[in-house]
Amino acid sequence: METIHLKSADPLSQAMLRSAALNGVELIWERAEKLQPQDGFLRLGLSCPYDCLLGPCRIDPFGQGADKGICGLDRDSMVAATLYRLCHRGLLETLNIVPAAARDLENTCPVKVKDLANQVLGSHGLPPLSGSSLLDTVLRTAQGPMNHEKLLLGALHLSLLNLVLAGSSQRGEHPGFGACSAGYGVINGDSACIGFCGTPSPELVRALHRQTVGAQTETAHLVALGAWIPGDGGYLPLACSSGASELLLSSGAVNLVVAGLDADPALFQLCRRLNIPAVTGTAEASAMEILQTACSRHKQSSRPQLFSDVPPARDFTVHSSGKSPSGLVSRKQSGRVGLICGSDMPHMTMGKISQELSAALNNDGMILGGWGDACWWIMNHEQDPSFVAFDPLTGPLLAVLDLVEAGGFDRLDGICYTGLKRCREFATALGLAFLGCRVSIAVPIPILGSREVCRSLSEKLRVSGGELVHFDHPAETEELTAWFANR
Amino acid sequence: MKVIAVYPDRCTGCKTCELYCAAERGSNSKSLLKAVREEPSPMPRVRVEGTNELSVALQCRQCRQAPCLDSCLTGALRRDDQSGIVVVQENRCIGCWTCTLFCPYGVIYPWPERKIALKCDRCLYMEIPVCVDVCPTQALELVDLAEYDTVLQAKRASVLETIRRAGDRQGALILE
Repeated sequence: METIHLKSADPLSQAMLRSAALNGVELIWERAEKLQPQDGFLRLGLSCPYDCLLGPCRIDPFGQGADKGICGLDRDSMVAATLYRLCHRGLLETLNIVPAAARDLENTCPVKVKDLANQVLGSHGLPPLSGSSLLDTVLRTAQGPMNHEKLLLGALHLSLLNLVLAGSSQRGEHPGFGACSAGYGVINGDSACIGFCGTPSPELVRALHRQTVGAQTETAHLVALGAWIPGDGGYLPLACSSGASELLLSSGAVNLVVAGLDADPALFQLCRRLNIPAVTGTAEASAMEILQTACSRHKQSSRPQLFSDVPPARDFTVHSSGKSPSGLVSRKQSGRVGLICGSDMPHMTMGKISQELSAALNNDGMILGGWGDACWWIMNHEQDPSFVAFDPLTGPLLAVLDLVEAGGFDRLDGICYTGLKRCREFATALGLAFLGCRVSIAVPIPILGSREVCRSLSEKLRVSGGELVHFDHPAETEELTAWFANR
Repeated sequence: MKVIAVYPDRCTGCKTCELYCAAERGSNSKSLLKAVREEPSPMPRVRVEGTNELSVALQCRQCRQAPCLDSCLTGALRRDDQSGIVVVQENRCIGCWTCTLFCPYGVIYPWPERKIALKCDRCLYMEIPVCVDVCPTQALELVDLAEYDTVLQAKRASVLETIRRAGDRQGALILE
């Protein structure tokens, strides 16, 4: 309990943490603590990522033990292969969400972005963007040891493909934007509460939405637990950030959980532990049945006291595709631009960096935007009413498009990832840097085991004017504001 | 006197102890991610030896009659009065490596870049040694020598059981 203030800076989150601790509910922080220290070889990128059966091979970072894998893969190639694997995995995660996007990449990708991407790829001797290059990337993963330079270029290619694929996909019903509300306040209401996490089937979300909103009397309200889920007329109200989804579940405020295939197993475990009905978010599940179960649970339980004084949720617009501009930058407007994004991580205080950073940059007169958990925390605290919220999947490319429209990346001071959870986020961050943006990641990434890879990566990004700064420790807000200022 | 007990049956050979020992005790930054970029490269005081079939973390056994103490030419090695641990006084060590030759376990290491001998001092000034703290399978444990007989008793009981089972099969007489 004495570490509650280190887990979250938000008073209601702290109250929920206290309640969970008193009830003996194990949450993400307890699991993370039990896993300390996490595998040092993996954290440095020195554990071979190839799935051959000779391994596992690991290279001693201090030069006393093994300096090559059994197959002969050296230190630099092992770290580069790790980077490649992260980007490859990120691309697969994106494809899992938007499987159709790859088939028609040439047509769906905005022309300006395609031109810029092909220009960057061409300057490194890489082939232009195409859906068929996906096959090449799969083959390369199976190829085994390669020169670290080639692996790095492959990783950059993948990261760009991931960024463009995700950004070119269509999200939601509306062509460019959707309404959303964020904050613990979305929980308030007298009806049953159904929480969505992961990526549930859009058909099921729509069916449930029709059942609830279309009904004469509202029977349940739908909220998203950390995931930005398009629904009819916009996005599902975001009850919490992804880092706080377990926390919110533990409070007893949610009567039923619909979990997409990529939802964390911990959410299912917690539902079992707390006897909350959980269904997988596939189209096969019956909307009516889900609704009835949630309502029946709601009748049996009372709303937790914790939520009696919760401030109302904040309404805002989420920009989701380049078909309509987000207004982040315009030719007439002047001023520097900063983007804050990224996920909650258990070893960082939830919301602290994003809120402090947005306040600091706002004071400097910067135009701010962002996506992901960082965006939720900023929106939840209403520090910046002009903050531009983007869809986490399509938003990064939309932001790039806006900047290109406004004449390039000159007005962009930087894009800061306050934390990384999924490989997709990492691949997107790298893709943005490869396109020419300044990107910082506030947490360590597993490439520190090779100075050569770090150097070579920086050099390659510099060719297109990009930068990827990462830290060997969880960064403090001061370090990040200094990075923004040091343009 | 507290010493580090090693359980080979629990050791998976992951070398986490080596990694974090080098980072915590051999680097200036005391952080793994920073230590990999330090010069000279940090060195661990514990080494994992063995094969996929058997692996074990080896570090100084803090011998009661320590040959290294007698071999040290400059008196750099001494036994800490309070804890009974053998420590290297780095300012006195001249890097002659005589102690490394005399150590019966081969667990005193030359550190040529810093011209000193390196050995486990059981993280004397820390509550729990780093290797014990980070071991994911608890293959390393900090035990008091006074309680050590309890550990050994369990081992003796296990040996006796093994012999008894072997005796049953071969018809040998086991004295109880």
